[in-house]
Amino acid sequence: MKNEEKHLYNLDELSDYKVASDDPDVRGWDVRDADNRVVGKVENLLVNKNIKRVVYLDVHVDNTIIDAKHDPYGRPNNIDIREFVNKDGENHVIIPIGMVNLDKSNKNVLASAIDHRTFLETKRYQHGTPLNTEYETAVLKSYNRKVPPDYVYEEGFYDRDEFDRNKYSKRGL
Amino acid sequence: MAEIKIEKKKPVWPWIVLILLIIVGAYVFWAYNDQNKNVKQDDVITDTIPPMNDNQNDIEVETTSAY
Repeated sequence: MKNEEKHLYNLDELSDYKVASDDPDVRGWDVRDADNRVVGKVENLLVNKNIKRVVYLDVHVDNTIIDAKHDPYGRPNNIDIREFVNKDGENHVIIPIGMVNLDKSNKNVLASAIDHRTFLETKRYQHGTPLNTEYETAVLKSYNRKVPPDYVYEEGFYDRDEFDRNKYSKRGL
Repeated sequence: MAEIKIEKKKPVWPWIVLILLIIVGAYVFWAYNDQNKNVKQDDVITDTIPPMNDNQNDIEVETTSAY
């Protein structure tokens, strides 16, 4: 992945920050897709320090997703096709926070807007690898197929509906 | 609704300082109390002296009566 200024941090890396007392810490919760199938477990929370909130859930995907060996959806133009496949060891995926609901009583993260096939087709990454904006836009396009193929990361990216449940749910997704 | 905010952790050092202050305060209080106990014991000892003075007076009285 291309080097660029780091703007996303695992919450674990930020020793002086914690989840706000009013909000649940979903680390360790199961993630369920639109078909209510478990697709993985939340391993970490990806934080943007500037806006002081979690923007992605970092999910360790279930082996059923890895074993399906699907090619990722929507290859960026400037990346070779051989670079844009899910390789061995790439077993994490990110989910924009606005695209999930939290089932607090059962400790489940419900990705009701993302079906199982979409999870199979989403580009994964290896845990510990720094995330870049190209990967973020590729993932966004995979989850929301209405995003134009030529869409690129821009200022105010995290103001998009996918990062705000209130706005996203109003779209009927 | 899924929104997870983060907040700065509250620093731990004020609690450590508070606990240390309580420990020091408790020690000082205990040491002061112990000193007071010693002072009270001394008072009891001085209280036993006056009867000796009374005896001396008695002796003087006896001498006078003999005269």
